Amino acid sequence: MILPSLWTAVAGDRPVADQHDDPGHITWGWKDQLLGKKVWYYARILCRRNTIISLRLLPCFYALSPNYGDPEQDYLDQYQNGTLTLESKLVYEALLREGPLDTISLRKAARLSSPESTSRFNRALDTLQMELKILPVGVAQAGAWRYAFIYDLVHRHFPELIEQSRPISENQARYEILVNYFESIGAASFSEIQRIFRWGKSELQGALQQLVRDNHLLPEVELQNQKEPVYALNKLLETREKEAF
Amino acid sequence: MRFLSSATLNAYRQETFHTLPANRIRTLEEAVNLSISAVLSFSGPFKG
Repeated sequence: MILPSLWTAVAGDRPVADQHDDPGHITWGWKDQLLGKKVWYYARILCRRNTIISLRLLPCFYALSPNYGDPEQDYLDQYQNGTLTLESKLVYEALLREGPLDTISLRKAARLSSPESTSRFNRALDTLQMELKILPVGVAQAGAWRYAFIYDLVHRHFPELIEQSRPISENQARYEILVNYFESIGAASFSEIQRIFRWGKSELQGALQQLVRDNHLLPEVELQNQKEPVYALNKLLETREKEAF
Repeated sequence: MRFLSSATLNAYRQETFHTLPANRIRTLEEAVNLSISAVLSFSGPFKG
């Protein structure tokens, strides 16, 4: 499963280089430079990997997140329901209480500074980012590497996001995200899409069926050298048929 | 069942992923424009 990447768009289709002077590493500078600038949304979102999402699509992602418009209460409900870990709660509350904090200060404020807490703290950071509750908004010269992300709460950094996402139904959100996803990648199988977005099977099926009804996608397309059939952009197949004449 | 060749799909992705030397991203402004409608991964293409 593949997504377009800033690295390959800059450096070409090759693995991320180890050499510090590789020209492709300019992407890291750009990423740091734009943290907190509200030009795009950068955080660990898909598959626990760093993802850039356009601000236009952001309300759709937020509409699908477990945030229901009351950021000071929703996380408590989730914690009581057992869908938010204690560490995630502590990290979230530290940011709620103290404002934006760099990673080192955040660990202290959340009382997760001990070496045994490292993986639980990092997992909490990942989970909170994937749920669009926190995001990196800057870089501080802190810690052993003199480089640490500064985190803030999403609803504080993007206060308009709750209202922007409110009128978007989950079905609309999935539809819009898939339109953009397919415009980028052209074709994907059901299981590939499911792995990347982690939506429920019936919800994903519903969104794909709507895209097929609207003539964006064709289902049951055989992709050369791939066992599982794919959904493909209608325009890709139309082009090929025209070329065949 | 309809058929899609890998060559057609790869050619499409070379365009949309900007991997051809001619349409690579060279400036921050271009990078921002690339993200306007896209869901992008930050580092290399990843397996889900």
